This record gives sequence, structure tokens and C-alpha cells, in this order.
Amino acid sequence: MNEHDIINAIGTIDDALIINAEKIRKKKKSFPLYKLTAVAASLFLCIGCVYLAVRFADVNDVTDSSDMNGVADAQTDDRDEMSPTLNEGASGAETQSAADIIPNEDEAPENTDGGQELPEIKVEVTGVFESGVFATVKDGMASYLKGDEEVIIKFEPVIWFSVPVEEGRWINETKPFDESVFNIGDTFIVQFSSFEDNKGKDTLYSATVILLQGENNEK
Amino acid sequence: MSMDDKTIVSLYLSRNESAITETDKKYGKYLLKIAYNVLNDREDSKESVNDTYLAAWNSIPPNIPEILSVYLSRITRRISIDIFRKKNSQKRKSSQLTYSLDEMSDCTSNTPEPDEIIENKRLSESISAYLYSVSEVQRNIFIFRYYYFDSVKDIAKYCNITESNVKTTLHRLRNGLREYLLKEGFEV
Repeated sequence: MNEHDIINAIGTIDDALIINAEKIRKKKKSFPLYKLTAVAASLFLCIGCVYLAVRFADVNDVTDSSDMNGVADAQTDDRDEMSPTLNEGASGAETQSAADIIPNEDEAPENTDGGQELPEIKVEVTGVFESGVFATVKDGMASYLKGDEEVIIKFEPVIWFSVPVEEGRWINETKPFDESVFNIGDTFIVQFSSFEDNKGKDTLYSATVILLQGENNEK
Repeated sequence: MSMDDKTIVSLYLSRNESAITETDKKYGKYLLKIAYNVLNDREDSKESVNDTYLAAWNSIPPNIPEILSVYLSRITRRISIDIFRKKNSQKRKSSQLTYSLDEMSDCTSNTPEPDEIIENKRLSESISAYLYSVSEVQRNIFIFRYYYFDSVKDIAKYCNITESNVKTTLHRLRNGLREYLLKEGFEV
């Protein structure tokens, strides 16, 4: 007799032995619902704590602005002054190069808020859509955005970020911008002029875009 | 919602081809897992399960299994082992000895002799008796490993014990089985 005989013989052992073993196998395969619920709840709690910790890490730097529209209008005015080409590009059909959108440094608004420097991030365009770009954070803003986190930058008179980014979570519908200006791989710096906590919903930033030429920018 | 075994068996008995579909719906993944444990290949495992359905179709009737899962699992296990042995023997074809052995198999019959069948039945009964003599956990560990060919890792999960514990238990069970079979007069 050899091991093959024994293995074959095991194939015909009592039914009851197999049935009992099968019950244990089936039971252990299905993850108990209560465990699943506990795991999901713990995960949710963890993510919630991390999110809150990150959100309120620099709570002293937050500008208390209850008048978002006022900020937006102010930004619009500033942007109109410094980068008329951006607005023209946003509504016109002309193709513009990225360089045209780079505002005059002298006219760029101060990137401060009450004397404290607000963060700026470097992003890389990963997709272009009809009213903005998808961009991945490449550098900066550790307290606001993590590296590799994707943002949506919508080009309006005021630029809004949605953090974190998911498709469909638009903040404001924008007037059209010239998507031909942007190419995947372009990088640009986003300077923040102010920060506003949208009370737990998407975090809103108003910012000025300073566009850098990327390696892939052929325009 | 899957059918109960009785209803599925009645489909086989009435030669309704939806018996296969219903079997697959209820036991497909279960049988695939058994096959995969033996063959470690997705395509071969699917082949084994398909052969199982064919074997079930051809054997019901006259067989009327009460517990369909056990009936099917035995078939899948046997077919998977046969596929495994065939594939392994093909791999060894490089040596002349293997050629000779393969040629010599022409002189032997694959059909077990009556005394072989009786001996196999006796062996199977002795193994069952041995398993009844050990604890339930040990019994299940043995069956998970040597009937279902589950991995040590999976067995540890099923039994809520460490992998090291599983290995030790299996080692002891094999020694115990050897002693038992010797006592029963088997030549091991």
C-alpha cells in the first residue's frame, strides 16, 4: 500500500465526516456580519479622526470669512487686473498658450492672509475637461492636501478646489475656459489667497493660478 | 436563491438539463475550490468541475444522492487527482524509464481487481474509524487537509488556530493513522 492508496481511500470515507467538516468550512468562509460592521465602523472612525486632525491642524491660520462672495469678488477684481488674458481665454475661442496666462508678477496678489503666508501647491495636469482640469498635487501643502491627491481646478473668475476630488463634486458651474491651453503633464503653481472652511462639505479655497510651462506643453 | 438538493436531484432524474445550471449555481465555487486545491490551475480546475457535472449527469440516476455536496465533492476530488496524476506523468516523459513504465501499463489494467476494491473499501472504513477515534477538531483538520487539500493557512483560519498548531496536529494524526492501520493488518 502506498500514499496514493490512502489518498484514494480518504475519498470514500463516511459521509458524516465530510458533512461536519463542510459545515465548519462554510461557516468560516463567510465573514460574520457583526465583524464586518465593527470593521467598517472602526475604519470610518479612523478616517474621520484623521480628516478632522488634518483639517483643524492649522486652525489658527484659517481666515474667518463669512462673506465668500465678497472674497470671490475681490479675487475676481484682482484677477481681472492681473490676468485679463485668462478671462479672455476662458470665454473666447482663441487658442492661447500657457505662457499667456502667466500673470505679471508685479500684479500678482499677495499670497498672505493677515500677515501669515498661505500655502501654495504645485500641481500637474492629468486630465482636461470642459470646465477645468484634473491635476495631481506634486508638491507642497502637506497640511491641506497630501501628495498624489488629485484636485479639480475649475477655471472661473475665482478658482475653486474641491478636496478631496471625486468626479461630479463640482462646487460651482463655471463659464467655459479654453481647454486647449492645457495639456496633460503641464504643471502649475496654485497660490492661495484665502482659505474657507465650508462647514464639513468640500473644502473651498480661492486661489490664483500661476501657470508654469510643463514638459509636455506644446503650445 | 439556490434550490435545495432534493429539487436539483429530481431535475437530474427527470433528465432536465437545468440540473447542471442549478448545480453550478449552488456548488460551482465549492467544487472549483476543491479542484484548485489539487490542481493549482484555473483552467484545469474548470475542466475538472465540468467533468464533474458530466459524471453527475451520467450517474444520476441510478444513484440518488441524499447529500449532493458530498456526492459532487467526491467526484471532483477523484477527477482532479486523476488530472493531476496524468499531468505529472506527462512531465516525466523525458526519461526512458518513464517511457518503459508507460509502455508497461499496456500490460496492466486500470480496472481494480475485486480484491483491490474490497481492500480499498476496508482501508476507507479503517480511516473513517480512526477519524472517529480522534477529537472533532483533529478530525476536521485531517479532512480539510487530505480530503479537501486545503492549505495549512486556510485550515488555521477555519479552526481558529495557528499554522504551527495545524502542522503539529497533522504530523500527529499521520503517525496515529499509521499505527492504527498497522494494527488493522494493513501493510504500510
